[in-house]
Amino acid sequence: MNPQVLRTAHGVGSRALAWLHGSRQFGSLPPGADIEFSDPDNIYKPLGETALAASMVLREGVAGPGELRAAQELLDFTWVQFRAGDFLFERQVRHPMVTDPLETYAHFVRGGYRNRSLDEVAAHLGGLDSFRAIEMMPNRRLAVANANRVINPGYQCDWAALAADTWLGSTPEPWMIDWMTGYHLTHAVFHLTDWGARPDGLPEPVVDYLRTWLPVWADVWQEVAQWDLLGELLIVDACLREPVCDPQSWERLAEAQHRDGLLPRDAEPVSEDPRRAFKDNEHTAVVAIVAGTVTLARSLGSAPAAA
Amino acid sequence: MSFADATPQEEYSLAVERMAVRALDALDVVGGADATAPGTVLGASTAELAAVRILGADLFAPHLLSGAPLHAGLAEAVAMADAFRTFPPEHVNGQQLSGQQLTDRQLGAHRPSDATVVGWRDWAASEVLSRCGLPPLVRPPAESTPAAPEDGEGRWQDWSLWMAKLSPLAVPGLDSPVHESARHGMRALGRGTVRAMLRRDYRTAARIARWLALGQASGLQSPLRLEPLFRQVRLFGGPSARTALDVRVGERLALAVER
Repeated sequence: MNPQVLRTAHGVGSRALAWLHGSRQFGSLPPGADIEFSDPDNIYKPLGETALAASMVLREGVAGPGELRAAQELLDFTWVQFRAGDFLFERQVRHPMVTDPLETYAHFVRGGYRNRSLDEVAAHLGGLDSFRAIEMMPNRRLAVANANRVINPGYQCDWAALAADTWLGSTPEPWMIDWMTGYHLTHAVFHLTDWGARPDGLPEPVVDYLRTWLPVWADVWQEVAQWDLLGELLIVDACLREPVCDPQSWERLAEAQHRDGLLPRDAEPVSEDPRRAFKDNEHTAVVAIVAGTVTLARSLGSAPAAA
Repeated sequence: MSFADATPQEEYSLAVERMAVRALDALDVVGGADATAPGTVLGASTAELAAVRILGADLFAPHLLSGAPLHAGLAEAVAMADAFRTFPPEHVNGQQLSGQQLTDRQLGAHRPSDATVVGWRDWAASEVLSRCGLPPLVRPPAESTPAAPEDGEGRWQDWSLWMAKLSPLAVPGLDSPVHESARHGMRALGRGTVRAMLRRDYRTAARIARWLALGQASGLQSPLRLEPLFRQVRLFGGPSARTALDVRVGERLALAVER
């Protein structure tokens, strides 16, 4: 990848990190929040995604000192929000068949944190047929498997079978994809490769398929200013051994990014209320941070995790 | 048929649709016999002659696909010769520019002009016409034909759109630098097809996919399964007879291999 594209990718990710770090108070759990969120996607899930972004910056280690410090502070902030993992543990105990506590915990494990109770619960649940067979979409099943792998490196499962069950794994007609399926396919890649650390985690037919069609999808969603999905597709690009997307995709993301680092999720006007603007666009910040980080790391040849 | 309140453009468009319907009908019946019933006259009006010129080599697609004999008595051939007289080809390409006059810029250009597109379509129509034994013979455009993009080169969008405009050349029996370029650009053609499908531009998708079908018929691997793709366009692509003609031609080419 040429140096100009790398500079752009790093710049987009770096500015998004600064924005997410500077706005983190908007993502706090409400005081006294308990584990019975009726809508866990509202605050609980975004906090976990912030932890993911921070853990990626720390894992790859290709950022500058200021960015590494911001990433560490974000991870610390989210860990405190989750009461050093106890919040996640209590939610898991209350609902043994939900998977989000362990999926969230994996980001902290990647960043160097451990909670002994969660480790024990994860080891136990990961061995239960019932937990492995929870009814969910195939790409979500990969998310759980990858979380288990991060928490417990000895975790075993049939990755090829899990991959084959996804939309992407069937290498289907690429012209049938829609917006939601776009997200499904990006997540299949994220989890099979553990966010770019294991490019070998993609079956070869899937690699060939992505090398042919990924540039088309990036082009199409770039044209309609779906910056969030475009960012996810650029993460996928960085999860391949060699990037295949047109370099100008990164330029378009940089052009869409605001001066303060906010990257709009799409072409809709951004709210002037900073809290609303944060809630609407925090996911896109996470995407931009991960995309910039993994793109830079793979290009610099930082060692992927051992298979 | 003309409409009192139709503009000439609207009238031409309607004539092109009618002519495409006619070619579609011919596709169903041509199989060694002449498609046209004896005494049938094509191009009875200026609008119809314009339609014949616009449809170009596609008018002969039923014959080219089936290998039916071409001869000067075909209604299509008579109409095409007449249409060339009424609307002569632009004399800006092969006839006037010699190879020495081409500049490096022209040779290196990745975006050929519209005149080059018209030039290639005229060449294709005249090439078939000459096989019927009728003039004129139009020389190929002198402007260089853009090579298929290499992987990672990032101009597959423009190139595949250019190839879409040249879809009437994607029939059996014609060969040119455009065809050579198509044979080297199967992946780029596939990308262009998928991009057009996702943009709901089914017309363009069908036109690009014709090149994939032609490549497949000549033994190349298509990056897309074509039979479901053409069926999707047929079901979702709207009522245009010209699109239907591209689909049917593509299907016929693809069937030669898939069955």
